[in-house]
Order: sequence, then C-alpha cells, then structure tokens
Amino acid sequence: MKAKRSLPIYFFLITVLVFGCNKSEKAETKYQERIGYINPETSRYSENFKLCNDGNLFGGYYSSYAPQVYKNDKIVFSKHIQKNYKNKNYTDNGFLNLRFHINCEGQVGNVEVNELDENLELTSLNQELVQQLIDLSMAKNNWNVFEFEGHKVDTYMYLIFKLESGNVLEILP
Amino acid sequence: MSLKSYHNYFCLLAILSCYNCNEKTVSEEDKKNSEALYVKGEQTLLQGSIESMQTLEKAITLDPNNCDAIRELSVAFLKRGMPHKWKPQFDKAVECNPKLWQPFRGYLHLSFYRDYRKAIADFDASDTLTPNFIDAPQGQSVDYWRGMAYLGLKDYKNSLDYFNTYITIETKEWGEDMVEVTAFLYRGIASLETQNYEMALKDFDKVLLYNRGYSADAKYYKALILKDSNPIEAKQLIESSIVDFNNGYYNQRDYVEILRQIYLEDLEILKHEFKEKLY
Repeated sequence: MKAKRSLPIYFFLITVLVFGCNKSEKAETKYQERIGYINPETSRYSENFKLCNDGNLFGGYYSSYAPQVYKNDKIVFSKHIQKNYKNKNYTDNGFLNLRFHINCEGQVGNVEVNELDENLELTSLNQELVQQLIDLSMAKNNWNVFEFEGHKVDTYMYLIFKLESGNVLEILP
Repeated sequence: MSLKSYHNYFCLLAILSCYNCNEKTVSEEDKKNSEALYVKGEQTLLQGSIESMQTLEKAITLDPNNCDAIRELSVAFLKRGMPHKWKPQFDKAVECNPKLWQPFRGYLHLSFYRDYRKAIADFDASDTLTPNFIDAPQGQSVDYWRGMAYLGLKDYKNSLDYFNTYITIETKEWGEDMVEVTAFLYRGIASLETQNYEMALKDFDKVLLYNRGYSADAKYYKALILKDSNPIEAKQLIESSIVDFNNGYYNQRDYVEILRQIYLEDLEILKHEFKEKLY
C-alpha cells in the first residue's frame, strides 16, 4: 500500500527532472513581447491615457536618445526633483525604476514601477517616497515631444533614482 | 517493482538529469551552430525583439558555455532601463567568463547605475583574475574607470592615484597623445576639488591641446579657477566655452548622462556672475 501511494510522487518528480532540462522548449514561450514593452493593463496611470500612433513609439524602446528626452536639459529635471522632493525621515536604500510612455501631447502614462534594493532586486520601498517621485516625474513640462516627418510622436522613457537613507543621490539616465 | 527499486530508479534518473543539465558535453557541431545563432541574434535581428531573444536562448541551449550569447541576452534589458532584469542575466555571463565580463560589469555599474562601490569591487577583482594584465572594459583601462569611480565617491586621493597610474602607463607605452583625453579632464576635476589649481590648470590645458583648442568643459573649469585671480581671461574662457558647447564640443555620450556632465545652464550661471560683478 505504501509503495503504491508513493508511485505518483516519484513519477511527478521524474517528469520535473527530465523536462526541467528542456530549455529549448522554454525559450519558445519565454518572450511574448519585445523587451521593454509596457503592458497598459498592468501598468499605472493607463486609464484615459492614449498613445497617438497605435503604440508605435519613436525609436521603439531603444534608449540611445534618452538624454535628449528631458525638456530643457536633464539639469533642469534634476533641480526640479531635488527642490521639490522631501525626505520625510525615510530610510530606504536602493533604486526606484520608472518606465513609461510620453504621448504626442507630452502626457505621461503607462507607468511601470520597479522598487529595487541595493542589489537591483525587487523589493518594497516606502510608498510615500515612491509616490512623491512618481508625481514629480510625471509633470508634463519635464519632457520633450519629438517630431518625425512633421508629426508629433510618442516616446518611451525610463528613470532610475538611486536612493540612500531616503535621499535621491543620483538620477539616471 | 518494489518501493526500493523505484527509489533506486528515481535516484539514477535524478543523477542523469543533473548530469545532462550542468555537465552537458557539447559537440563541435553544436558549438558551431550555437555561435552562428549568437551572431544572428546579435547582429542580424533587432536587439530586444522576440526573435532575437529566442535565437540567443537557442544558442545557449546548444552550448551552455556560449558566454557571449549569455551576455548578449542582458543587453536589451540594460538599454531599456530594466535593472532587475539586466542584473541576473549579466551575472550569468560573469559566472561563465569572469575574466572578460566581471570588469565589464564594473563599467556598467559605474556608467548606468552610478554604483561606484560595486564598480570598484569588480575592477579590483580583475586584478586577481588577470594578474599582470590590465583589463580594458569598453576600451578603457580599469585604472581609468577606477579613477572615475573614486571621483564619483568623492574620494579624490584614490581618484588621482588611479588617473596618475593610467596616464603614466599609457604615456610610457604609447605616448601622451594616445591617452584618453577625458582622463586629463577628470584628473583636472579631482585636482580642482582638492584645491590643487596649478595641477588642475595643467590638465585642462592638456585637454585643450589634444582637442585642438575645443572643449567647453576645460574652458569652463579654467574659468572657475581664474575668475578671481584673472577675471579678464576667465570671462573670455566662459564665453568661448559657450561657443564650444553650442558647437557640440563638450563631454557627453548616448544612453546616459556621464559623470560631471556640464550643461549650458552651468555655463550661463558662471557668465552671469561676471556680468553682476562687472569684471
């Protein structure tokens, strides 16, 4: 009786071991979207936010032009953050990573929020801290709207705030 | 079959599975095909596309020691600002070929995340991994990168030491004109921060010498140093710095802001000081 009861467990483990090694099958299903894609259904601030060009982003998700996306240079954005962000006795160390779309009207939406520890692994940061930085980053006048062939286009952008004891030490890219 | 037999059968399969997963013997044909897939995934297909990522995964499946393919899988995550996806993948590349990719990870920690301490740890590790050889991730010596990382930490003594080491070795081996010109710029900034203005001015002059007289950065820092002792020259320098900046002669790069990047606003603020003081 004991042997019969153990059989399904053994066969289950064998299956996991044998098929767990089949990496090629996994590769076929691992990537459902291009890298960088932001799903409006799982991101924040997607309601009432519309991209103007059917999701065709200027430059795709490639970020070589990222330093040019800040309106009036990054120094203006950095000063805006440093002036308005208040460290209310936060103790967080790590990184806050925001990825988002800027539509042809300069509005920010589809915001993916990744809260990371010092080893770049997902964690939870103080939510008030996170919300402050999201609100300050989303202001419309932070961002350039690019034109291509006479038409204003949608853009992808990301931000990384490096945090130490709740202070913003660095802003990237 | 008894329970004991099942147990033995299971253990044998488990051992074989582990062997297959981790100790796979790769045939020469699989290595060749893996390399071809890597080249296709990296060069032919759009970086970060589903097809490119799947092709690279297949390359790794064929040859789990194809470290270049393992590393290439991380690049799209880096360039799209997805640190939590980039890090575990790049760590696999470091595990696969630490001599090549650990110092390179240091360069990425420094440039894309401004994590100076992690960058230095990776650069220091390269000293042990490749003794008697100076690694050069992204084309620059680890001593150059350490100089920059310590500058980011505001540890100016170590910054100066590493820039001195880098410049001395390059000059001896190839000649001063082959030294990466931003090494003079950053060493000058470190000297400026330690109030060694004489050394700083010498380095900023080197920047101008090797940039054929064009550098908004060098002129800006020279103007900062000279604004009290030689306001007339300083005023000329800041005006010339703005011209250089507007013509694109300033320290910058794609993808990410560089360390100590200057902006037009910095230059205008300094120019405004001259107006206010009516030099």
